[in-house]
Amino acid sequence: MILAAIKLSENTKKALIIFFLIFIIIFVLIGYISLAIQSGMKKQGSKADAMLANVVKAEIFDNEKKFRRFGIKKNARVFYVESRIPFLIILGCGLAYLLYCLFTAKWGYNPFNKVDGFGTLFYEFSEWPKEKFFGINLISGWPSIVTKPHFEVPAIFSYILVPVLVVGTVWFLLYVLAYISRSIRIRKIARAIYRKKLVPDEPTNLTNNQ
Amino acid sequence: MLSFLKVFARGIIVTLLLPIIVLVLACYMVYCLVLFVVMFFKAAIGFFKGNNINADLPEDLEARRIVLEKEKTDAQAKDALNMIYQGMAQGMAQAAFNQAQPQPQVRPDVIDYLASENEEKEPEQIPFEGEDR
Repeated sequence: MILAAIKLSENTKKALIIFFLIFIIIFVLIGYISLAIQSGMKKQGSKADAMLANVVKAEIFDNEKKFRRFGIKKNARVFYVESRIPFLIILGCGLAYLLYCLFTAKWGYNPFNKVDGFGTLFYEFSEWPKEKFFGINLISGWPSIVTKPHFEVPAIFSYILVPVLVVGTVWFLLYVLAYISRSIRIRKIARAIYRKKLVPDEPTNLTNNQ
Repeated sequence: MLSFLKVFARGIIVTLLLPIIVLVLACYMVYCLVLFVVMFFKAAIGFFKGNNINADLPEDLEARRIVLEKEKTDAQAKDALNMIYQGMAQGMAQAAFNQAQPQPQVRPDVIDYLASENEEKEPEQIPFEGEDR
């Protein structure tokens, strides 16, 4: 009834449909990205299987605690060996930043700033305009553009530093995800091997029918 | 369509849980940075002691030795079994072959003179000269 009472113009209807479609596309994209991350983590987790295969076959550990401790130790070693390059990139960025501050004497320089930093490559908008409507502050229009993306010579250092830092950080983050997935897998393997259960986790069709 | 809706629902759930996910990831990132530094010092100390961080742990070496031994004994057992099976198969084949050969039919009502002729006879004694037979 209420919906029927609302009369919308054609343009508003079109805008609503477009808004709805964008809304769906964004959430579907996020869903697919999460699925991709999950499958990547599963693949990384299977590395833990290869890592611990011999130890499990040889039945070296007699309890879960020892096995998990060994798994954590091994996982940390793998993480250290894998993440050396991204860590060196991040460390290099930090050193470069310190040297830049030292030579320019600009201590506390923010490489992301909008004056002579990486922020000059982005749009800057003013605040949302607001007006009082029956005593309530409501948004009354679109924000205006303050600065457009532009090139600044003093910001060249940040143009190099920030992308390299982002690449290093994302790379390191991927290895952190791999570390987490291997840890989860090790915990699962330890439980599956050392915790004896009388009732299986997943009942078979046979038991269901009975 | 159902899978599409599932992905859409997953997207909404992930978006709602995003602050928690980001927080957990950030915590893990800090933990991993600390872990990296600790491992770096461990590796550096190990390097001067002559240990390599890429080398296998003692448990790994022990496990590999046990697995290799197991594989060897398994292979030996397999070979022995194969030999037994081979012998059995040969015996069975021989038995089958023998069974497949045409056997001479023996009829009790027929007297086989040829067979009786072929039977071994006692050697005749040759008398000495002048001796009566």
